[in-house]
Amino acid sequence: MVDQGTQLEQAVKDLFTTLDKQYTQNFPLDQYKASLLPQLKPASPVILNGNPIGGKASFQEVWMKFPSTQHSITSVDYHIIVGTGTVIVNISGKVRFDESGKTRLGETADLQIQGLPTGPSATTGNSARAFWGSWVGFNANLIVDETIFQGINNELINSLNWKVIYTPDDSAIKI
Amino acid sequence: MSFRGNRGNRGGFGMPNSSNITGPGAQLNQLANEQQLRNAVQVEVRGWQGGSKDDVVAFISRKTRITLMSSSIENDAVVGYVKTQNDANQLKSWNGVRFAGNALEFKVRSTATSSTIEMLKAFLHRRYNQQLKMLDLSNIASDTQLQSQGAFSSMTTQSKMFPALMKLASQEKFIVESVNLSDNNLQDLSGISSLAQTFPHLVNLALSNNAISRLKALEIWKHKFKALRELVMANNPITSNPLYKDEVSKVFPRLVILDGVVIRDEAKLKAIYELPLPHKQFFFEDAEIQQLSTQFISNFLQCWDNDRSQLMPLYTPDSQFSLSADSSVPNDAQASDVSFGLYLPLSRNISRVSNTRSREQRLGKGQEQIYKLFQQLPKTKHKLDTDPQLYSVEAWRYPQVNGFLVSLHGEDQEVAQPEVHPDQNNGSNRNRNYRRNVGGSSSNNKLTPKSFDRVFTIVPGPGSLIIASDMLIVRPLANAKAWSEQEMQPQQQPSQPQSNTTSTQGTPQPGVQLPPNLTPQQGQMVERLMMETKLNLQFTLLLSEQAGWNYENALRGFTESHQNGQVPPEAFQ
Repeated sequence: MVDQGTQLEQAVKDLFTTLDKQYTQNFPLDQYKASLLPQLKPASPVILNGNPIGGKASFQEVWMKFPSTQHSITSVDYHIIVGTGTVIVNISGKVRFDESGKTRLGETADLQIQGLPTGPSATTGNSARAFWGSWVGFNANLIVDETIFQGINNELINSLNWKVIYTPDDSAIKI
Repeated sequence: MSFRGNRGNRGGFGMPNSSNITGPGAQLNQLANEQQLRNAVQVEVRGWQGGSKDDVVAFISRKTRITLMSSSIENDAVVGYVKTQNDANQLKSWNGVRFAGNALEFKVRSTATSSTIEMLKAFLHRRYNQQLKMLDLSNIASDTQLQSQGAFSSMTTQSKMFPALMKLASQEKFIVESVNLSDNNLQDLSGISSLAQTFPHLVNLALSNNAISRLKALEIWKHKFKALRELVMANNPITSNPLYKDEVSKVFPRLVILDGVVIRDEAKLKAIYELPLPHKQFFFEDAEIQQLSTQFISNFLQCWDNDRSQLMPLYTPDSQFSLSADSSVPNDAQASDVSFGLYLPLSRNISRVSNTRSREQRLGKGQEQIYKLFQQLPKTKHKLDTDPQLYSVEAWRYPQVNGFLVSLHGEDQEVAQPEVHPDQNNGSNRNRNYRRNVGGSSSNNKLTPKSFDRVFTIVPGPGSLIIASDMLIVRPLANAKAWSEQEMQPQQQPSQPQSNTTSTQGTPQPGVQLPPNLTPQQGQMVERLMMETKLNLQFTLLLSEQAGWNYENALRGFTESHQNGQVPPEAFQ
C-alpha cells in the first residue's frame, strides 16, 4: 500500500505544476486560464502575498498576470482534521520567475520603431526561451478535501495561501 | 566626436547636466574637468581618532576653509583630496591644530612617487562625480596625468588597466548609476566585461565612438545588467548591422532607450518586471479574526519562549503538532548558521522523510505527545514586541472547523539547548552518528537564529480557544524584506526630479527651481554664476559640477570656453 504522505506529496506537486504551466502561442486563452489550478472550488478564498483574492475565477485572472513561474517544493507536512473531511497542508520551497521581459502570455514591451530595421527575431519574440531569475523562498498553506488521497481530478481545494518569504537581492522581478 | 546630430536627442544619458552633451558643451565640460583634475592633491590626516571621519573633515573645513574631498579611512589616516597644491601647502601649515584633544598631523602625498594603484585611484576620483553618481571613463588614453605618470607604458594595454580600475572602484565604494566609456577605441567588450560585476545595477551606459563591430561581442553581458535603462553606442560599426536593435534588446531586457530612441514602453516594461500585487505584511479576514489572532500570537510566543507547559491547555487529545526542517529554502543566512542537527531527528518533512513509521512517530497527537516534542526543541527568543516588522501574518476563516487559520512567518533566536535531547526519546538507535554528536559540542547542535513558518488551526470556544493543528517549518534565517512594506513606500511616492530624470523632459528654463539636492552655498553659487555668465540652469549646473563647486574655477572655465567660441547658443538663458 502506498503511504498516505507519499500520495499527498505527489498530489501537492501536481497542483503546483498547474501553476507553472507555460502558455504556448495560439493556445485558446480561456482554456489556458482554466488550466491554472483547476482544483480550486469556485468560492475558495485565495491569499497571494497577503492580498485576498476572491475565488477561483479571480485567482486565475490574477495568476495570468504573474510572470511565468517554476516552483520546487522542498517540504510538505499535513494534518488530517478528523470529522471535517479536510486536510491542512503546510508547504515550503522555492519559486523562480521568468526575467526575459515577457508576460506569462508572451507579450513584450518592445516598440516597433519606424526606420529601424527589425530582424526575424522581433516577430518570434513569443517563443523566445524563458530566462529564469534567482530562486525565491515561498510558503504555502492549503486546505483540501480528504479526496486528495484519491487523486486531484476534481475541485478539492478549499483555500490557498501563497506567500513569498524570501527575496534575493538580485531578483529582477519586483516582488 | 560628440552625440551631435544623434537624432536630435541631446543628453544621451537623460540627465540635464550630464557630461554627454553636444560638441562645444563637451569641450566646456572637458576644460572644467581638466582644471579640476590637473590640481587635485592627495593628503593624509593623522591624530583624528578623537572624533569620526566626518567630524574631522567638517572641522578642517571650518578651521582652515579647505575642503577635503572624497575622504576615506586608510589604516590610521583619513585620506582625501584637496583642490590645489596651494591648498595642500596651506593645510600643512595647520599641523598641530587641536582636534578632539589631539594634535592633527597633515601630510601631503607626493604624486610623483605614488604607486600605480594610487595613480589609478586618483584617476578614478578625478573622474567620479558623486552628485551625478557618474563615472566618466571616456577617452582614458588622453588623461594627461596618467600619461605623465607613465600609466600606458607600465600597464601595457588598457584592457589590463580596466579590470584594475573596476576593482579599485568597488573598493572605493563609489555609488555609480552612469558610466561613460566613450572614445576608448574598444573593439569588443572583453576588456571591460568586469563592469557588469562591479556595477550590476548600472542604469546608463555610453560606449559611443568606439570600434565595436560584432553583435556577438555583446553576449558576455547578456542578462548581466538587470537595470540598464539607457545605452548609447553611436559611432560604432555594430550599429549598422540590421539585427543591431533586436540583439541589443535581447542582451539588455530592461533597456528603454537605445542611442536616444525609445525602444520599449517603459510603463509596460515596469509592469512586466513586477508581480501584479504588492506584498503585504498582514492579512486578516475581518476585525474579529484580527483581534483574536494577534492576541493569540503574542500570548503564544511569550509562553513558547518562557514556559511551553503553559501552552498545553490550548491543545486537546485530538490536537496535532509536527515539525518540518527545511534547510533548502532560499535564505541569506551565514553558512555557519545553517545548522539543523537539533531538528532533523524530529522533522516530519514528507519530502525528505520517506519511512512511514518515522512519519507516524513524528506526528504529535494529544497533549502528552505534543509536549514531548516541544521539550525536544531548542529554547527560543522571539522579538515580536521589539521588532514587529520581522513578523508577518495571514489569518482567515476555516468554516469546516468553525474556526480560523493563522499563518505566522518570522524569526527567532535559539537561546538554549532543548530540555530533552531528541534522540533520548526516540527509543531507537538508528542514528548512531547523531547520538555521538549529543553533548552540545557538535556544530550540528549549534544555537543559531532561524526563520520559521507556522500555521495554526484555531477553534474558538467559550472564553478560550483550542489549537486543533499546529505545523511548524524551521528554515535558515532570511531577512524580512519579502514582506516589509516600508521599503516599497518611497517608490510609490512621486520621485523628486534627480539625476534619473528622463530625457523626455525638456531643458530646465532659467528661473526654474534649483535642484533640491544642492546645498545653500551651491544654490547661491549657481545663482551668482547664472547672473554673471547668462548661462541657463542646465549649463550652469554642469559648469559648477565640473569646477568642483569652486566659483573662480567655474568662471575662468566659462570665460576661456566662451572666448574660444566653444559655448553653444542653447547654453544661454
